[in-house]
Order: sequence, then structure tokens, then C-alpha cells
Amino acid sequence: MIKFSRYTLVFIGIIVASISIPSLYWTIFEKVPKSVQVYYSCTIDDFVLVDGQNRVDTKGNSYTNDEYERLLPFLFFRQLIADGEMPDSIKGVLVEPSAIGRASSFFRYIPRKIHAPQPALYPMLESQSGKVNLTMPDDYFRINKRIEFIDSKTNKINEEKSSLFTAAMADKGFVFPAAIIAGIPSNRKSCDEGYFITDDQGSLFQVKMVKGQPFVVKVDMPEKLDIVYIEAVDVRSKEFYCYVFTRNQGVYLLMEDVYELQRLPVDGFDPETMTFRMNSDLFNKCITVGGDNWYKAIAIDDMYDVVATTEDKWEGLYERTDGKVFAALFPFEIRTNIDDSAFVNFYFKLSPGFWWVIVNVISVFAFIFVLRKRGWEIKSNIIDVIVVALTGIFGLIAVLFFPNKFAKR
Amino acid sequence: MFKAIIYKEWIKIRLVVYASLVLGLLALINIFLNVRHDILFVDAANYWYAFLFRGVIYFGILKFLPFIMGGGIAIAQYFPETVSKRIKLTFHLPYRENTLLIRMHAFGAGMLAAIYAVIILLFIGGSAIFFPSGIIIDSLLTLAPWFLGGLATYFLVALILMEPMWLYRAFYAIVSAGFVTLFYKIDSIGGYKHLLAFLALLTLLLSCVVLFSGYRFRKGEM
Amino acid sequence: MYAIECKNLTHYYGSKLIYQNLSFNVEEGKILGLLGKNGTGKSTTINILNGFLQPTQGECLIYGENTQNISPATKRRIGFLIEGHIQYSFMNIHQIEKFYSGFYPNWNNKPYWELLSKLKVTPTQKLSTMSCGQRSQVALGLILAQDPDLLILDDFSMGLDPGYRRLFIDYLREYAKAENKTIFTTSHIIQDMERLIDDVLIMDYGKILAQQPIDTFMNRFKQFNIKLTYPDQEILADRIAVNIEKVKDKIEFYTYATEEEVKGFLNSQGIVYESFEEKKMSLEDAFIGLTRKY
Repeated sequence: MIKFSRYTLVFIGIIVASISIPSLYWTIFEKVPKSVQVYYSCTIDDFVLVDGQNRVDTKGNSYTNDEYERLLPFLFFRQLIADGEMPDSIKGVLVEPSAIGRASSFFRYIPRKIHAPQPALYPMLESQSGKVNLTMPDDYFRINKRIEFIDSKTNKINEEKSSLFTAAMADKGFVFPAAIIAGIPSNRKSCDEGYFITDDQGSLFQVKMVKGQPFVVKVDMPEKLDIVYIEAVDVRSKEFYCYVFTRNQGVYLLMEDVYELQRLPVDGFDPETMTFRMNSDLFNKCITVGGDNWYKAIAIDDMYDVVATTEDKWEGLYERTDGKVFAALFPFEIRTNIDDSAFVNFYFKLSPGFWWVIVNVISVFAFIFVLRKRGWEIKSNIIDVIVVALTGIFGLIAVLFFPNKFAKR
Repeated sequence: MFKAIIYKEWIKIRLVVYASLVLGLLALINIFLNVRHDILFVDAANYWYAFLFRGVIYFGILKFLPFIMGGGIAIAQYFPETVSKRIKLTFHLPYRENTLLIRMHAFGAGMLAAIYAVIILLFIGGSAIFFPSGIIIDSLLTLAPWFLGGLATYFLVALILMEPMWLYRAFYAIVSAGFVTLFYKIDSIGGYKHLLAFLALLTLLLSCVVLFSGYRFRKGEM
Repeated sequence: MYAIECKNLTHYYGSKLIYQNLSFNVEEGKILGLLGKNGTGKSTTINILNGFLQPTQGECLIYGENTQNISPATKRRIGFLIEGHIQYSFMNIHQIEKFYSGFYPNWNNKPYWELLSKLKVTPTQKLSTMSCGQRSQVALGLILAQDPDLLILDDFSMGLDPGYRRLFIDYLREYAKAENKTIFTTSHIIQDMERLIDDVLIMDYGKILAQQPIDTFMNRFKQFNIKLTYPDQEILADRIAVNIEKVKDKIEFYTYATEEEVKGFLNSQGIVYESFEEKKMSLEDAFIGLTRKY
């Protein structure tokens, strides 16, 4: 029991050490990682890559700030108008500020979005109230074995409304409960399109409220999709309702009115680890997928056909000096917060390579030296020695902080 | 004999137990008076919205209370034992030393858990007036690491106090501070969902570590 | 039959040797006083006896059980007074009596209340607000009520005024003799010991100087005061002399030998003296004579 309590303490000590010491290391030594913003210029029909103050195209030409703004007239049209530099037409198409605004949208996906707590309840807005402004409802819904509306004034379930919506959803083939519920739970949007919901079977539905009545659409899927994330958007072009991310089956847009899933030309997208960006303008959409040390950009036209691609890769964390030194010092680290998740957890990260073995061996020798000095037998400390050999500096600190009093001299 | 053990522990910690209960009740009264007031002024729908989509928690005042209670009971229970090494008297009682220490510890932890249970049950009861179950469950998920952290604090403060050598007390304090902070990293609703089970397991393991410093004491580290 | 048997005790604090191969026994029914200067290992011995210290080597047995692992049944037979009369000072005299009574089936609170009736304390007064003397009576009363067979008293006289000390000792001796109890005790004030103990155990750095009944010790161990005719004459230490303290022409000669043997020894050394007389010693004198002044 006492030996067990000591190993508990050693274990806790290793956890604390492997969280706090690496965290201190990174705070002191971490270098700012390279990150590149990618845009597609309709004036040169090429990508513009922005890395800090560097602006280049894929042919290696670099641009000043003013030149850069002229490359992206849709992004900087207010500035260009103010400078009197905004062309009246581009590629023979007359460009008006209102059209530019309608066409432009910006979207970003990061893995953290699928690893985040979800709200317990959602508000269902009235989508055709006849009023100019949308209003927030007094009730909130949740979906378990049926859909339930709870009135916030009384904190009671509105049975009538719940039954009405449950029946309407079941009628369209919705299998309770829901897996993903995505909508824009706000009245600050141009119109309400309700919620995009996947059911227990993975089918995709739209559920909204029209004049107090349920409106449910089941979306036809081209194939069985394993949807992991949906984000509803309010694009002014009214082109699509939402982005749909699947597990290794691509990224889709759910097109407005026709309820068709438009596949984006992005292959091998892993929503667990990769980021996704899409900038739209009057002529093109520029999609960038990427990770820590790489990106791949795809420009598509309004028919979703690829017009250009580019990609780049640079030194990863453990190829840089700060990362190399880290991997040589520590066999692993535990992080409680990572960029890819909003949840606190113990994220265990093994250091690549085997340089840390040297430090572990030194730690073992240091430990044996201390044992000798205190006149303790190495044999009866053999478990400690193994712990130090496996966990290096972390284990050394832990076994010295919680010394083995059971060992023989 | 068990009754006699409890009798002494109760004399040591009763004031802190009463103070913790009063403190907990005051905090709960404060929370629900505020909720009632705010719902009157901004409407329940908006109040719910703030919780659901902005992560505004109505029970933030509870965050460090379990920590304070855990530390308080551990100090009340173990500090008097360490003054003039009075723990020698305790270990000299006709009882197995480890069994005795475990019983003392179980009583302290049990009282702490009982206080927590009272606070959490009242919290659930109060919340049920104003909020639907989804919000209450998410609130409990958010509260859980704070209360687990309080239990861990109890176990670790006991460990530190019972350690006979100052140098090692300092070592334990460093590790304990690092560990207890893990329970209070973020306040986002449900942010600890995936770590809770593991933290609960670690806290359970910690329940017996006081034996370690007790053993060190008995084997003459001083 | 021995109440306490310690065999070949060796203890180090870090690399500092306290003692080596120390052995002693305490017979049942005897009162043994452990004397020694500071740092000779009195507290170390007490701590080993109570299981709060693991000796580097050797072992102590109490009623045949290793003190590192004494069963609750045997612990029930041992009364332990911690140096400074430490007790749970957050309790009052009723609470502490109630607490301890739960552990000892033979609990007899008569001596406890008898001792405490002589003190001017209120029933709800916490021990922490009492004087040192009052606390000592509470601590002793609790041990007496426990009715142990063996009492281990660590420096019971610390912080007590002469009145309390006398009270404590007289009560204790009477009690121990009437009930055939064994006592193992240390004290800073050696005068106290003389009234109390049957056997004496005197420790010096790393060894035992004497272990015998106190009467035997006081009869056999003698001090002779000698005035030298020639102050320059040096006396060589011999087996016969345990300790010789010389100031100019005055010599204090401590020995287990008789007067004749000492005189014979002096003659054989060719020492000329003006006067030679035996000095009656108290236990304290004898202790200092044996262990030297510094």
C-alpha cells in the first residue's frame, strides 16, 4: 500500500514534470512558425502568397504593397476606389461594388471546430415572420429520442410544438437522435435557414420553422457520407447553405434551393488534422488546405472547375533548431491544451528520433550516482532506474522528489 | 475504537466543516439571487443564450470554493498533528498505524465529500428552477473538475503537512501546485469532458498518498 | 523476564555515528533511568523504542516484539510520555479523557481525576491554555489511566517547577511500585532520578558507561579529593582511575576502586600528597564525575 502510494506520487510527479518543463521550454525558446496566406489574383491569373511582408506569385515575382492591392481588386476595392485605381471592368466584366460585396465570402475551418463542446440547446427562429428583422424565440430545442422545445419563461417542454416537429421530421425519415446540429443561432443574419442536422443513420436534413410550422427537407447524398462537421453560413451570394466535412470523403457545399451536395476539388482532406480556407470573389474561389508546415492551394472558377493549384512545404517543428533540441532533451511531452482541440486533456506527444536516449542514459547515471552517495542499493531501486530510463529528466525529478525509503542500504 | 478516532478528527475539523457549509450556502444564495434578478431584467431566453452560445457561466463564484474547503479541512486535520510531532501520540495508539491513518483520512475526505454533495445537490435543485436539464448537465461537467481539484487538494495538503522534512515538503508543494492547477485550466463549459474520468482516477489514487509521508515519519526521517 | 531488550544497536544520522553495538535490557518491574549528555543518543534510543526510528543496525524488542512493528495489543501495554508532555492540546480535559478511554479496555479514570483535582483548571479549558505543569499532570494522568505495564517517559521534568516535579516523581514511584510497573525514563535533571529509579544506564558518546542498580553504582563509584604536595606532578590515567580532574594542586579522583587500592596506586606512581579524603557524591556529582564536565 505504501509502495503503491509512492508510485502514485512518482506517476503524478512525472505527469506534472512532463507538462510544466516542456511548457517552460517552449515559452522561452519557441520560434514563430512560418505561415502563408494564399489568394488568387484575377488580374495575373496566379496565386499571391503572403508571408509576413513578403508578397510573391508562384513565378517568383515580388510585389510592393500598392502592387499587391491592385492584384486583388476584390479584396481591396474600397482602398482602390479611394485611390482612384479601381478598374471599371475586369476581364470584360463590369464590376460594381455591390456585386463584389455579394460575391465575396471568407470561410475557415480548423480541427478545433470538431473538437469543441457543443451547446445543449438551440433556438429555432421563425424564418418567415413577415417582419424585416429576425427575432430570437423564447424557446430552445434539443434532440434526443424526439425533438423537444423548452420554453425559457416556464422552463417546461412545449409538448404540442415538440410533437408537431417530431412528427414532421419522422415523416421525412429522420431517425432520432441527432448526431450533428448546425445552424446560425443568431438573428444577425440576412435570413434564417434553420438547422442542418444529421440523424442517427448519418442522413442529412434541413429543419426550419416557417410560419410556426415545421419545414423539413432530406438531402439526397451521392453516396453514403460519413459527415463529421457542418457549418452553416450566410453567404450573400445565396449560393450555398453550408460547408459539409466528411471523414476522408471530401468537402462539400450544400447548394441553396436544389439541396445538392457540391463536391469541392480537394482530395485527401483529413478534418482531424488539416485546416481549410475558402475565399470567394466574383470570378474564383481560392481554397487552401494545410497543416503546420505545408499548404496546398486550389483556385476554382464558378463552375467549380480547377483553374490553378500550387503547394509548398517547409521545415516542420522537429526539423527546426528549437524542435530538434527539444526532441534531444525530452523523450515526450504532455500538453493540456492544443490548437486542434478546445478540450483540456492530456495530449501525449512522443519526441521523434532517438536523440533523447542520450539524455535518458545520463539521467540514469545521475540517479545511480545519487543512490551510491546515499548508500542505497541499486538492486532494490531497480524499478526507479527503469522509470528514469524510460522517462528521462521527468522521471529523475519524480524519483528524487519522492525518494524510495524502502530501499536497503 | 473507530468512534474514538472519529471523535478526535471531528473536534479538529468541525469548525472548518461548519464554515465550509456556511460559505457554500452563501455562495449558492448569491448565485441564485443573481440568476433570478438577471432573468427578470434580461429575459430567460437571453440568459440561456448567454450560457449556451457565449459560455457565460452563472456559477463562477464556486470555482475556488472546493479548493479552499479541501485545503482548509486538510490543514485543520493534519496541522495539529504535526505541531510538536503530535502524530507520535496518534501512532502510539493501540491500532495498526496505516489503518489508523487511513481511517482518519477517510473521515476527513468523507466529510469533505459530504460538504461537496450538499453544495452540488442544492446547486442542482436551484438550477432546476431556472434551467433545463441540458444546461444543468453542462454546468455539472464544468463544476466537476473544480470539485475534484478540491479533493486532490485535500489529499496533497495532507501529504505535505505529514512530511517530516522541510526540503521534501517544498518538493511536494511544487508538484502539488502543478497538479492542482491542472483542474483549473479553463472555465469553458464542458471543456474538461474528456479528461474528467482520468482526473477522477488520479484523485482516487491520491487518496492513499498520505501513507507515504506517514511512513517516512515513522521510519525516522526528520 | 525483560520488558525491553535492545541488541547491538548502531545508528547513523547521515554519516554521523550516534552509537555502535549498543545493548541493554530492562527487567520487568524495574525503574530504569537513562542518563547522558546532550547528543549521546537519549532521544534516538527513545525514538527507536517507540518505533519512530529505524536503527541502522540491530533491534529493540518490547515484550518480545520488534519495536519497528509492535502489535496493537502490545502497544496497549506501553504508556508513552513525549518529551515536553506533548498532548492533543486542542482538546479539553474531558474530551481527551473520552478520546483515550475508547482505546484501552482497562481504562481506569480514577488516577486521572485524582491528579487533575489538584489542578485549578476549568472543565472546558483547552490544554493549550494550560501551564506546562498542568499539562504534565494531564499527560501523566492519561498514562496512569491507561494502566500500562511499561511506561516510557521522555524527559518528564522538562519545564516543570520543583513542586510539580516532586509531585510527579512521588506519585509515579508509589504507583509503579504498588502495581509492579516497568519504567524507562530520561531526564535532564539528574537530582530527580535519584528519588525515582532502581537502575541507572549512563551513556556517553557512542557507548554505555555504566548500567547497574543505582545503589550499587552509588556505593561503588567514589570521588577522592587529593591535595598534591608538588602541583607539577602528573598522574597517569590507569584502569583504576575512571576520571581525573586536576586543577593546580587539587585533584578529583573518580574510581570504582577502594581507598586502599587508590592509595596503593598513588604510591606506586610516586605521588606525594598532603591530604586524601573521600567525598560523598550525589547522583549528579557521580554523573559528572563519570562523564567529565565537558
